[in-house]
Amino acid sequence: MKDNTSSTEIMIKAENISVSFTEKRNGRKVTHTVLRELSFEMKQGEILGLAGESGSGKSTLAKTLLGITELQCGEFTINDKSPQMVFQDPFSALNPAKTIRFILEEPLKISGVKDREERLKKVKDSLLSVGLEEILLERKPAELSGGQRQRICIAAALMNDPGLLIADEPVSALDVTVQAQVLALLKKLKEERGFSILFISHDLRTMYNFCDRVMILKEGRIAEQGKVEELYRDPKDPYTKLLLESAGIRQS
Amino acid sequence: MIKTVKKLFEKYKGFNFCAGLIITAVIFLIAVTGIFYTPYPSTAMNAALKNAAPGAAHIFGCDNYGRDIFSRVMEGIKNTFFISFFTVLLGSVAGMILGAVCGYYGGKLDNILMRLNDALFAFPSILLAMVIIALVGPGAFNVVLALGIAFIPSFARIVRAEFKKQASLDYIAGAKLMGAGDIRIMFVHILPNILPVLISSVMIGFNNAVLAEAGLSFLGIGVQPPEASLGRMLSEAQAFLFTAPWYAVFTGLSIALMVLGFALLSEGISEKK
Repeated sequence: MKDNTSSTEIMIKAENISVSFTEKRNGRKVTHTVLRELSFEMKQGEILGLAGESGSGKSTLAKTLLGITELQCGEFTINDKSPQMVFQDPFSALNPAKTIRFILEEPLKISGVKDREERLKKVKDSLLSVGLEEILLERKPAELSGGQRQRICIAAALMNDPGLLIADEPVSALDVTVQAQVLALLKKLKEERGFSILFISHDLRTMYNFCDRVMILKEGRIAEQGKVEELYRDPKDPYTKLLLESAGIRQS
Repeated sequence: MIKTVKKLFEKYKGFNFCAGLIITAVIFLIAVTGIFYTPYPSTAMNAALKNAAPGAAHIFGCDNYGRDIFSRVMEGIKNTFFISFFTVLLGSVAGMILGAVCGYYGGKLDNILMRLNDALFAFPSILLAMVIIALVGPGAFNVVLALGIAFIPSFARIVRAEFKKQASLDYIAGAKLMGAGDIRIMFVHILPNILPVLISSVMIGFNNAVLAEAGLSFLGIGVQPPEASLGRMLSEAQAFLFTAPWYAVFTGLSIALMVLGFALLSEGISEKK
């Protein structure tokens, strides 16, 4: 990840990235290619949706961009020093042994905010900004609802003001009314602070309301990408058509 | 201090926990008192009191050299308690570091260390301790060293499994993204999550250490005479089982009580989960 000073407009620029996993099966090495020569760009301040069926490589792409998964060839640049992630399962994304206060304070401690009072103030502010009350500070994640936990995850991820937030199915573990609230919150925070969101989901209906642009992945390749309205109105790729039809958005 | 104790009681109010805590507290008090004070010098012999029955002056009676058994039991509890304590401390700290590194990093290092661990684990711990004592010689310090090393594998295994489980969870990936270092993740983020498991295995480990120390002394390779040790006293008492049964009974009972206290305590703590 290096700073891209020549074009500050671009948040992610990926060229020909390929990722494959090798596993041993019956003594023989088997290689699965998950991402095949993917190239795309993402603008700063944009909400880019990443859709596709299970196994199409959505999560692998996210993990590769964050440096969790190693890439085999190609290259990418991210115009942000420490991009953050909101995970799918808010139950395993929060440390069960720690209080909310510790969880929110930790990113500040790591980034070197020494002053206790300053940290506490920031923690309280961030709690308010995700629509939660101070009373939750001394509670542990197990005492919170799924929606509250996901709000805490968002607050923790945004603690150090990242430029890029990768959200991997952030609402699919929540019930429908809570889903809408969390998405509205994400959008509001994005408007206020101007970070970019890479939004991974299999729910094309949610994407329509939430994203600026959508990229459809199929078997590790980009099947189609474009502005939400255009892509939903006039899909070119048969796979995109199929996805839209099965989501009930488009009739065959 | 009082507040924390109160909090503990509220958290674990169960018969096992309370009974275990009381027994362990009494044993601990005896062990600490044993450092400064015993009613009679534990090595003072008196031919007139040879195998004397329990009475007002000597409540547990006297042994075959006319030494006060109560004083010797006190000193034996002290020796056994502190040897077991340091054994478990050595075993659990070393085992925890080993298990944490293996479970967290995985890969080749984990493979190599765990195979070594398995090799150690293959010997019964008391046998392994005997081999080490045969190499370094008897004495309290060497017993701690030998038993401590013999106790490492079981702790390492438990901690490794727990670390492996935790390390794969999303909150660890999140902590890494925030830029937390490995040491911080291991000991600040993961460790508190495995504390309940660790505490109950430390308790069980303490019991095993008490029994192992008593076993070693019983075989004559633990604490050396004239220092009192519960295992050695029990071994000596065998010869007088019919002429002075109080010798074996009181010594055996104190070992049993020590083990029972910690067993109840660990039971009580695991009940809470």
